[in-house]
This record gives sequence, structure tokens and C-alpha cells, in this order.
Amino acid sequence: MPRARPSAGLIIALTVLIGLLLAALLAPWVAPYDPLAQNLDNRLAGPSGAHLLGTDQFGRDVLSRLIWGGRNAFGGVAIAVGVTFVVGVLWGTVAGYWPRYAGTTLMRLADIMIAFPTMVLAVAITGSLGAGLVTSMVSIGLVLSPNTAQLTRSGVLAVRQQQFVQSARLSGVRTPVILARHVLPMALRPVVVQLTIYTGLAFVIQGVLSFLGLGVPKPAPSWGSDLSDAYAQILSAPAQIVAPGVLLGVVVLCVYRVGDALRDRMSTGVVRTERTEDDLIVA
Amino acid sequence: MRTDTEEVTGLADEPVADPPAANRRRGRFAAGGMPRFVLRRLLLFVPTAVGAGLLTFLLVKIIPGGPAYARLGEEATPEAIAVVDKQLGLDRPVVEQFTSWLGRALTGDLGESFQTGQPVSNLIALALPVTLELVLLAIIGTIVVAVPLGVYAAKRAGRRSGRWVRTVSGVGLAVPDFFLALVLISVFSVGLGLLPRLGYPRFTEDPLGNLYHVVLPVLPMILGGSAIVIRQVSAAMVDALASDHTRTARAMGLPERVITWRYAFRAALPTVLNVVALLALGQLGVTLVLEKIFVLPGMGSALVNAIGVRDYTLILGIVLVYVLIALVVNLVVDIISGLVSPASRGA
Repeated sequence: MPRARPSAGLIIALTVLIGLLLAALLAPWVAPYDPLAQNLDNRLAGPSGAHLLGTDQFGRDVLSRLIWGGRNAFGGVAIAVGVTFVVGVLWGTVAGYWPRYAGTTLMRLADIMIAFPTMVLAVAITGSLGAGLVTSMVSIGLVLSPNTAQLTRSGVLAVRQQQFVQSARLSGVRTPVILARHVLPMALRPVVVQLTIYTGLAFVIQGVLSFLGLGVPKPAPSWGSDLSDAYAQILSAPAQIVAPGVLLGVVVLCVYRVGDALRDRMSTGVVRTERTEDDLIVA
Repeated sequence: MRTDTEEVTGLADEPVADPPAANRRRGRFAAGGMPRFVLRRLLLFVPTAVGAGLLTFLLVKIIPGGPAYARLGEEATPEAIAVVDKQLGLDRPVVEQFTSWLGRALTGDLGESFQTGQPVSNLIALALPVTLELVLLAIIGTIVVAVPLGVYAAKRAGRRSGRWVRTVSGVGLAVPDFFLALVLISVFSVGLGLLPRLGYPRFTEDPLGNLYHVVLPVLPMILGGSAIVIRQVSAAMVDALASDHTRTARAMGLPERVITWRYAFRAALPTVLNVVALLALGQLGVTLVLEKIFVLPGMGSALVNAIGVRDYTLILGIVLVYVLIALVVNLVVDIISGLVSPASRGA
């Protein structure tokens, strides 16, 4: 298949994401101020040369908080998507390769978990485990994993029937090798796309959880809790919501753009890739 | 064979695996027809509901230190914890706890709130209508906005106007609902002073005031939901308009409006129904944060507050009600899909 040249939109999206990730990683050198340093004489200031995005209700530099908050955002989403990948793929592979008893039981469990509204389940698990970055992100990962399990399973079921897998089995190749070398590389193509979309979704759910006070505890910088701080000032300074909100929206948009591009490249005959909005509707 | 239902949910079962067996199975159930399908679906509901109840029950079991610890605080002595555990019946075996909780839940008794001592079912009876109102209005609004726009985008799929609808809805997919709510508040409430941000008169007491106060909370749900539904409707309609039976209808010289709505839209209907139902469940989650933003006394606020004070029985009751709603919606959608499209009965 000839490779199409990446579109301008894709290049912009990737540049934005990589730039933000680098800024977050290099926060101590990039951020102009300490994200926790208060200056009560300069509260809720608009953008200026000294504070490019202004200051919040404690006089903290908004730009520095967003850069440092990026660490929680990217790190947290990496945890969530990692959990979804590991749990979902294991779950789906076992269910797909041994469809009879293990598969039926595992998929019943997935059906039940999927019946819970995603956000409700994420909030309930986080609430039960106790608020915090790791607990909230592991919750998100667990909540999304049955969807990944279903997609993995249908991919494995489809590939398992292919002749090259049958012949590998007949020639005595061991099951883990068959799975790792022959089944999963093809079966996981749609999963990679789904996980990209879930990355965007995880940014949103993380934002919601920290907005609700279930994520990183304040005063640590995080986009969601900065938004809830900004909302507390909506009467006196409505513009405070713009910076963290737009940043979150732009990141999600860029991630979906990358997901769309991956989807276009990964479509193969045997295993179907879903449309972006199909994956999104779970939330 | 793939059905429309699977296309939407991505829950495709065995796409190409062992087609003869799949057909045989499908054939057997198809032969039973609609009553058999409904019965089978209803019977399946029971174990799923019990499983969901068990999952909910175990979910609250993972609270570190258990509910007595959460209630008494970190200073609690083991003796005090033992007393509370006995009161709550937590000293009994887990299986027994679950069956007795489920048994009482079936009769509508969800226990008393830790915090206030009020029956959980009373608290839920007050909160549930608020949340259901939001979701219902959001869904109605979404259908009104998104179905015509989706059909329009499909009819003009190759042209610039159709692409515009898809592009705008694509951006809409990325905007988090709760941020959209904050933007709408600062424009319509803080900036223009047109719509109220706070306050919730009950519909039974002040219907007009109630509707006036829920415009702002429902608007972000309609916009966010439409972004998804427009794209789904338009994709389903593009397929339907390209199908053979639409071509036949066109060859017969039927008016374009009849072809679009009576033939193509009907073929796309199961997809649309499914999307709307899934969206309703998603919106149930969105109300969590919107109720918090607009300080509405619904299920979401109740859940977040219950988590804040570790109100074990209240969390359990609220999550159970959410799940039951979700299961019933799924059941109804499956049955309606079965009515509209016989192909989805087997799955």
C-alpha cells in the first residue's frame, strides 16, 4: 500500500502534542515562574509581558501552572491508557483465543461493566479507592478496558481462523508464540486506533475528575482543578476559564486528529477499524 | 454478516469466524421470531442485572479500611470499628451480605444514609427526576438539532456545505462538555445576563421557571451530543442512500423527499436509535459534572457529595440506580432494534 503524505492538519497536531509534551517534561527550565508561588498583590491579572497568560486568584502565573499541570495530564493519561492496554488486551486475547468457556465468562463480565455509564463508574471507583492522580487514572484505565477487550477479542477471533495461523498451529508452534507473532500483530491494529481515541477521552475524563476534586489534590497544578478554580472566579474574572479550557480542548482535538490518521493507515481486510465517533460514544 | 447495531457499538461478534456455525445459530433464533427474541433478551436481563449489582457491591467494598473506618475516621479503635461493623452487618460473610442487600434492594429498601440517617430511597426519589429531566431534554434537543443536520450532511456529502457540517461537528467532538458549559455561563449568564446560572425550581411547582433554569445546563449536552450524532447519522445515511433499494426507489421515479425519509432514513434508523440510546447513557455521566457546576440537586451531585463524606450506603444505592437505568435503556433499545431490523435479533 503506498503511503499517503501526512496532511498539514496531522503535522500541526503532532507538532502541538510533541511541543506540549516537551514543555511539560522540561517544566523546571521552561516555566517562567514557580507554579505554586503566590503574589496576592497581583491577583486575576490579564495577560502582560511579565505574565503571558495572566495570573489566577492567588496571583500565581497561569502559564507556569499549565506547563507544570501538563506533567500530571500527560503522565496521568499514560497511566490510564497503559492500564487499558494491558488489561483490555489480555482480557480480549484470552476470550478470543479460547472462546468457549473462558471467552463466554469474560465477555459476560465485559458486557456488565460496559453497562455502567463510563463517567459514573470512573467516579465511583475513584471515590472508593480515594482521590488522587494514580487512583483516578487507574480507574479510568479500568473503566475503558472492557471496550478494548471486546475489540481485541473480535480481532483475535477473526485472525485465528486465517490459514497462516492454522498452519502454524498444525506445525506445532506453541500457543504463546502463535499469539504474539501471528495473531496479535494483526488483531491489535484496530486496538491501536481505539487507544489513540481513548487517549483523548482520558484527557477529558481526567479533566472532569480533577474538576470534581477527585484527581491531583490542590494546590498542585492540574488543568481540571485549575478550571474549577477559574470557575469559582467566574463573576469577577470570566476570562480565567479560557486558558486551561482551550488548552484541554486543543490537546483532545490534536489527539483525535492523530487517531483519525492512524485509522486511515491501519484499515486492513480481515480486521475492521471503527469510526472515531464509535469509540467516543462510550463516554 | 454484520448488523447495523454492531456497526455502531463496535461490539461486533465473530466478524468472520466460522461463518457456517454463526449462520446456523442466527438461523435458529431467527426462526423463533420476535416473541422468542424478546423473551430471550428479557431472560438475559436477569443475570446481567444481578452481575451488575454484585459489581456495584464489590466496588464499594474496596473502600480502604471499609465503611466503618471511613465513618469513624483515622482515630477509630478496633473495638469501635467492630461495633459499627456489627451494626451494619459487615461481620457476616460477604455472600450473605450481598444476598441480603440485594433482597432488600429488590423491595426498594436501600438502607439509610450514613450521613443523615434518611432512607437512601427517599434521597434518590428526590434526586433522580432532576437528572432524568436533564438527560431527557438533552436527548430531545439533540435529535431535533442533529438528525436534520446529519441527513443534510449525507445528502451533500461530496459538496462543501456537507463537509462543513462534518468539520464543525468534528471540532465539537473534542470540546469537553464541562468546559463548554463554563463558556456558555460566562457568555449568557455573566456576560449578557440572559439566562440564570444557579437555582432550580421544581417542575411540579413552577414549570416555566424550571425550564428557564435548565436551558443553560442542557445546552452543552445538546451541542456535545449533536457533534456525535450528526456524524453517526450522516455516515449511516451515506450508506443507506448508496444502497440498492434506494437506487431502485430512485429508478421508480419516487420524489427525492420520499426516498430520503421513507426509504433511506428508515434503513438508517436502527443506527440512529442505537446512537441516541448510547448517547443517553453517556449524558447520564455528563450530568455528574454539570450538576456540580450548576449546583443542581440531582444524582450526580448526590454521588459526588456521598463520595466526599464516604457515605457507603448512599454511594451503593446511587450507583445501583444508575446501572439499572443503563440496563433498562439497553434492553429497550435492543428490543426496538429487533423490531425495526430483524437482522439484529440474532446477535
